[in-house]
Amino acid sequence: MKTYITLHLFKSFQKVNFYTFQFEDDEQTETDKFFSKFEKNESVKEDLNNLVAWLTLIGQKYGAKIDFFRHESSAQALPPPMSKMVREVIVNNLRLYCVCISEEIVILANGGIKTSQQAQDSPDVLPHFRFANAMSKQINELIRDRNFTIRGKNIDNFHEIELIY
Amino acid sequence: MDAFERIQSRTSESTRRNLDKNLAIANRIIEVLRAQGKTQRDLARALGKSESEISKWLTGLHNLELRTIYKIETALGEEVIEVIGTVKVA
Repeated sequence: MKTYITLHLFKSFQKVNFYTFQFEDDEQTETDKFFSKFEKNESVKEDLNNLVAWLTLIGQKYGAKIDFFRHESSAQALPPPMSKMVREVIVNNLRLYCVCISEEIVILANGGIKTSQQAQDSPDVLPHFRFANAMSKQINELIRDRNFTIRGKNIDNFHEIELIY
Repeated sequence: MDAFERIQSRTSESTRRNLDKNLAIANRIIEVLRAQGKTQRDLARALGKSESEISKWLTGLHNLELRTIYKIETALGEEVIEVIGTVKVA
């Protein structure tokens, strides 16, 4: 069954707006789910602190340069072509997937704890990696068809955008 | 306050400062590469490292050793970090 997904502004900083995805029947956004899920997990407490501080500094001071974000290393994780816009933030085994639109706009998705070298062998992260790629593909099409308008750090028409998964 | 903000507020100043320095170094390397029209692949080749390793260094989430920074400076022909001069104590 297909579900509609909408975009929401997650956090706004001086240099970057971080947006996120939300499934139509969910109360939380995908990124809220990620932080809520791991907030009280002692095994990743320091990693999560680092991740939040890193996002904050990127947002406030450095901008979302594409080089700060990493590619999923596994070419086997999805059939080609994998989206070049999908990146991951890696803090030890913790992964947060995102779609990098520009140095001022990043759409954060969800993530998890990676338990193997390849995303396809890590059940905690694979669904989120697949989701981010599916969203990126649709966003690419919207950009190509000029139905995704950005101005500075804002996605002007984000309230009107409906994605499907 | 949401989970992100609660995590933000519990994070120590030392964690933030450490990341800030790491990001400043990564940011400088990225800017020098861009100014020279070079890519991460070029830097990897110059240093005999894998692209994956360079990619990890440039996230700002990796603690680079000073000697690695010196090797990067040599490869780029540019200063990456600068030590502020001697401070006179009254």
